[in-house]
Amino acid sequence: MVSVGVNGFSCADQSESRIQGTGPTLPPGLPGLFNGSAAPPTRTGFCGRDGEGRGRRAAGGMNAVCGGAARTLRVPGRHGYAAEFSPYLPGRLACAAAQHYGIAGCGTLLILDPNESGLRLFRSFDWSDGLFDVTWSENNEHVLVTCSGDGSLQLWDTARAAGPLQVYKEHTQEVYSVDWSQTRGEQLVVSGSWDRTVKLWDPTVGKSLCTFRGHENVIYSTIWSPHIPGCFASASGDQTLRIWDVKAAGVRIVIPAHQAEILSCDWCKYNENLLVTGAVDCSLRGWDLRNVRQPVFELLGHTYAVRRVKFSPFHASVLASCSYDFTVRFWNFSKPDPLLETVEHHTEFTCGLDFSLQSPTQVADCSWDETIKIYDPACLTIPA
Amino acid sequence: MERPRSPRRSAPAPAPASASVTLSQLLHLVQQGQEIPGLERRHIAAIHGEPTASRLPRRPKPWEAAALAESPPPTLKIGTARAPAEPGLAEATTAPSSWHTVGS
Repeated sequence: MVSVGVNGFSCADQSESRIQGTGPTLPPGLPGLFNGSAAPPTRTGFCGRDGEGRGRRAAGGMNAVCGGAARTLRVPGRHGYAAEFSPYLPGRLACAAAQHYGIAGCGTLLILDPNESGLRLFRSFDWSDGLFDVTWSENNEHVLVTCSGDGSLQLWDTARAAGPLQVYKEHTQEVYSVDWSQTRGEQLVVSGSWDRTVKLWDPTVGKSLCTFRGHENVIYSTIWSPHIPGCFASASGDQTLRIWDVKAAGVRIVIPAHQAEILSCDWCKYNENLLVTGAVDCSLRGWDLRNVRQPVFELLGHTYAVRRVKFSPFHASVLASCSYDFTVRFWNFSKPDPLLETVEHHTEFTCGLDFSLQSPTQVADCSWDETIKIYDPACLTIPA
Repeated sequence: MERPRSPRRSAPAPAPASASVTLSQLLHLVQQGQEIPGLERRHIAAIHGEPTASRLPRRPKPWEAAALAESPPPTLKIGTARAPAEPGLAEATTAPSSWHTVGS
């Protein structure tokens, strides 16, 4: 029996949970962590909260989704971690989910299609451990890659009922992010792990091509540049955003972007020098890589950790973020009053978020309230 | 010492076996070494297959389509040399030299 003391509570070892002596594998940046020092490299530090923020529901009025009702799929017993629209099929959505909040049990990859009445489950695939992120192939409409708590990546084929086709197991701890390269002529996947490494994969090759070291804490996010081949960004619990160059096999830029764990980052689709970070300090910050001494914008409004942030594929200065405060917020950083809209249609931590690549107004998100939603927020449907 | 507390649920659901364990309840169960209700243990392995062949061409991303639309007409000819893209959208072969790390 191993006891692990973590920020005010201890956890006994339990073979059926993910708590096996390395510390309980709690999600990062949970409420109550904001003022602490850097969290240890586990899903630790949960101090709990009660009341505040909980039980809120979208109550209509200003914050209601006005562009049309959300299509919702309820997935009992599965907690959503990531949602990604297909780059090929309009409306098709993949969702990486985990049983029991990713702390214990299995995981499921869900493939959804919209239909007349809402969302239809096209296919689902189970995996032995919680799935934390998913990315679609950029050269085959059937193929996706997921990553999981057991340190592995999985390659799936939506045209088959069974899977995964392949499993790549090299990371030694939870893998929290996967991303398929966006630039033409490259078909590479990056994965970011709690083992503090980033690995580069060619999915047709059974082992990683390269391992990138340097982060001093767990890695939560790895995203390819949409413009510069072989260039990707990573965000970490070490409070830095790093820019890497595959050709140089090393780090190009280290940005101490927050004084808190950084859970997410993304590239602007219309400015190759611009990135955004989202952190446990509740803020979003924009970074111009030509001068990273201070952020070019800061967006405040979330009341708990920012779990994921993405730039719009259609608008240069529009982005969306989701948070442990249950909300999804839409921003235009070029405006004096940048917060465009707050969507409050979830009742738990909201972890997954994506913009449609086909419809300029459509968004998907997923939450630990066991629902996945596709909707058209008012701020995107009404021209500003 | 603060301990995880149970989040409120609007209604105690008459729930399926695997659902309805709140995060706090789950942490408590784990902490106490108690059995987690509905825990699904699976041992899934790769089937080692080849992906189904792709039938669809790659769609240009919205930002690629925008860049293409703004390019001079000759660039739309297939097979010609690549057009000069918008300054902000150029597919540089290496990271821009204007990028500097903190302290460099």
